[in-house]
Amino acid sequence: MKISCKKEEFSKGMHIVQSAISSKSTLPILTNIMIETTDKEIVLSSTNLELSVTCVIKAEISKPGATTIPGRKLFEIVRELPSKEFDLEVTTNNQVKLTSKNAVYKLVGMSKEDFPVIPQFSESSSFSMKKDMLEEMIRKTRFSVSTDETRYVLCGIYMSIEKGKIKMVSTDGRRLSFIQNSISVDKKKSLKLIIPNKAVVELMKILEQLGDDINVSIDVKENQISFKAENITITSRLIDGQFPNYEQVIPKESKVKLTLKTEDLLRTTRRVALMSSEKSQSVKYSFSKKSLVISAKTQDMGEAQDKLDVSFDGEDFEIGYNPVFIIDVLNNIGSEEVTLELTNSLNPCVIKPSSGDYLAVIMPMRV
Amino acid sequence: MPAIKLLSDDVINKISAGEVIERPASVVKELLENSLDAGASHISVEIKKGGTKHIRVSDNGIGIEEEDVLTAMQRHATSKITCLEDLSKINSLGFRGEALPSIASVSKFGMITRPKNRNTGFAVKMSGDRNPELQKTGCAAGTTMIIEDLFFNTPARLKFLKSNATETLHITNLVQQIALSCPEINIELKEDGRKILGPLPKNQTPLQRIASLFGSRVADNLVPVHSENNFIKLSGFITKPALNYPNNKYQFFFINKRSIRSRLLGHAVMKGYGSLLANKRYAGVFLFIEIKPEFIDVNIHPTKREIRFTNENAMHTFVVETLQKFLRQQEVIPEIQASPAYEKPDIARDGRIKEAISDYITRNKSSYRSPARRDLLKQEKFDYRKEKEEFEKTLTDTMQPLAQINNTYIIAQGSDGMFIIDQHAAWERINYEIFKSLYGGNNISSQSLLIPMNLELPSGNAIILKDNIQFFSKMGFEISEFGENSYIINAIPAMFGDRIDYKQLLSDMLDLISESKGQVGSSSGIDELTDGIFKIMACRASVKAGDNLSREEMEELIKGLNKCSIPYSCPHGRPTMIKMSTDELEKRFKRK
Repeated sequence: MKISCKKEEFSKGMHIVQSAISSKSTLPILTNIMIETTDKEIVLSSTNLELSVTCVIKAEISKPGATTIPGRKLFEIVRELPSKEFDLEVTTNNQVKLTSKNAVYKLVGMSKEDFPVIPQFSESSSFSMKKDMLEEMIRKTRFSVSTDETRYVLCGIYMSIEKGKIKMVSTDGRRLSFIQNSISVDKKKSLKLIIPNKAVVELMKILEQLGDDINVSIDVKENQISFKAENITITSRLIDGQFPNYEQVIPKESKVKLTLKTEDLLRTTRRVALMSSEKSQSVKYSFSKKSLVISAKTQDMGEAQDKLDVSFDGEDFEIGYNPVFIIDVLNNIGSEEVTLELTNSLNPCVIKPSSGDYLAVIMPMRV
Repeated sequence: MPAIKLLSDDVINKISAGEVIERPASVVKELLENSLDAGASHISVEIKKGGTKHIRVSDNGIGIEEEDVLTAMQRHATSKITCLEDLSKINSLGFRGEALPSIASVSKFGMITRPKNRNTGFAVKMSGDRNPELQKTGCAAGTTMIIEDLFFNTPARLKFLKSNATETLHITNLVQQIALSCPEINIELKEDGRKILGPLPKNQTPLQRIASLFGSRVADNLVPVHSENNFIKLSGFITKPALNYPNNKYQFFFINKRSIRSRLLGHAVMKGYGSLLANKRYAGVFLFIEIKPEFIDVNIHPTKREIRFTNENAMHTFVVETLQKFLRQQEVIPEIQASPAYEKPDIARDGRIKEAISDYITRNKSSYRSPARRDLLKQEKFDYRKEKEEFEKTLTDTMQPLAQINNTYIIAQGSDGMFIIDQHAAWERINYEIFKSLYGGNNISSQSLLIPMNLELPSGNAIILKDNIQFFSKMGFEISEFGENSYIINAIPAMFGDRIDYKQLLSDMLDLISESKGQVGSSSGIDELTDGIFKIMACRASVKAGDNLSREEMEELIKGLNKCSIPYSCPHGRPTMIKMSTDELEKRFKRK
């Protein structure tokens, strides 16, 4: 293989794919990135067996081929190269020679054959959606993904496509977030899958670097999902398992409905939460006529209280929440006003924005 | 009148009953073994008040013939052996012929029996020293034994019985053992009409039986073992090392279908697992051993609970080697779930540390006693209060985490030298004190679950959970019953967050309670058992050895230690930190 590339473009590509490079691995090949030539381009790929990232960049190809090179080292080298372009050549035994102006590097690569095969998808079954919609849906659900490995089906975002609607749901067993949008897919297309949190994190990192008006094409095959945006493809294994029946736990009715300014509720909760203890985090919300008193108290530390005027005129009641759960929702809801739907101090509370098909369910605490 | 007289039959029976019948569970055991020896395929056990009031064991076995009914009630009457030679080839569970008369002598005893091929059955009644009364009666084929008011004529024995719940637990454990040893029979246990165990379906495989008794979590984590030579045949299941317990409650040994206790086998299991298990953790095993009767002696204890092997060494080696063979084959070691907290310490490394410590101590002793130099390693000699005041000052002043070694120890700099902190031990201490104070102030808040967790428990633990539900609720767990031995966790303590395995925590807590056979939280203060539970919780909730910590996490740890009343040792007594003063460092580098 012999190629010549632009330093800047190669660096960008390396930056993208390095997210799936393992830093320490029992399988040394996983610390490498693979470089493969196509007609006028090269494909950079990395994988940690769960998650793979590939990025296609332009290059001049004098001799086609493929090799794998220690990823972090190559990234560091390319950044320090003296000129804007460099040549890369693979000689026998995967010896890699990299030259730029007068600088010459010789690197020990490994054969392409040792590199895990990254699943390929046929474009025919894919569907696409706007990058900002995908980003928003993930942002509004990712915070309630579980990290409890004993309930592994909750350690990811559940995604379903049915009747032209895409839904994303996540729950850690204590709270849940749900979002739904229409997309242009075949109405008969039906999918149900769980995207692991690691993939979500990497996908978001990459989406944030892209422009707004881009289409992301999504494809699913067996237990793999791929997201393709411009020249970048992320492939991840899916979580194998049955996501709980979330519809069942979303309350259908409520006794109390309150609309509040998001900012007011957020700031007040934050202010008061300072006086809730780390170990038994809870903030009390006391509803009485026209007012909502938010308070927290910790033994040996002290207490805090604040008040909001609200349009409430039911019977007085109190309910406790982990303030983090409330803050997470309000930080991400992206709406000036929110509606709280409550029944009593034992039942979950639903938070909705003023518009859009989004909701968050939060279970109370017994204080 | 001669001074030495033969004892009357009645007295002999009572003495014998003292040996065989210790408690209601012993009665159930004798009766169950009779049922099994009678070839029953369905056995039902019903008890009232822990078996003290009423025990009823009915089977569909061969029954007893008319002419035998009364003989059976005499001492040393048995159909199972006939001559001395037979003793060395015992194949049945019972053989001494002591059970029925012994039981009958200390209870109000009734028996209804009908052999399959007879049209009428017989009912026998007997109470204490009265002679048996025999009556014809219609009844189902098989034998039903009814024991009422156990120990009614031996008040001393009655006084020594534990609470009804404890006696029920003993009976449950016993029925469990029998159920395990005979997966082919249908067996059930009821107390006061409510189901405790079973009915377990007939003709289960051993694995199915284990799953029915202990839940799928156990069954899914078993490795089948099998090995035989000319004399011994060993088969059964052992848990993968990742599934382990704080005691040996889940170790079951069966020799020729007889459940036995054996230190020898227990030790062999421990040796077989070797370093796969940490100190004081036990595997679960279900081992069925078939051995020619000539090679064992079961007649060394009246309850036949203990057993002697003619060649103990060979037996031990055989079990150890079988276990090792299968544990190696299965590649059970690299499962990620295995909690690194229990990792066996690296002995070489420990040795080096110990060496360094003792070196340090001797140096300190011999050298001039500066008031600034404190020997943190010899905690016993501390005046805690004084130490704490000074210590806190040094901590709050400048204690700064610098680095983490082996993802286990934190190096920190204090105003007066260097500290090495064991991260797990330190977190254990912090959590332990926090939980204790929250519990004391009734301040444990509980997070309700949107999606409840399922909990399957072995029946013994299920009873304990039921008895202590109040306590668990105070601990922040809201648990409700959901079918047989199956529970739903509706709320969890809020203080643990997302990082612990709640089911494991609960099952460890239940194991501890069952071990100490008590009720927790009954006294208003914090008793030893409750304290033990805090230790388990603290251990489970704490950062493990091997966890990589960020700087913020290290700082949080030091802050937490600072708030502790006894920051120097973890709740189990290990030190949380070692200190080397600046003075000492200077000495070591020969600057002074």
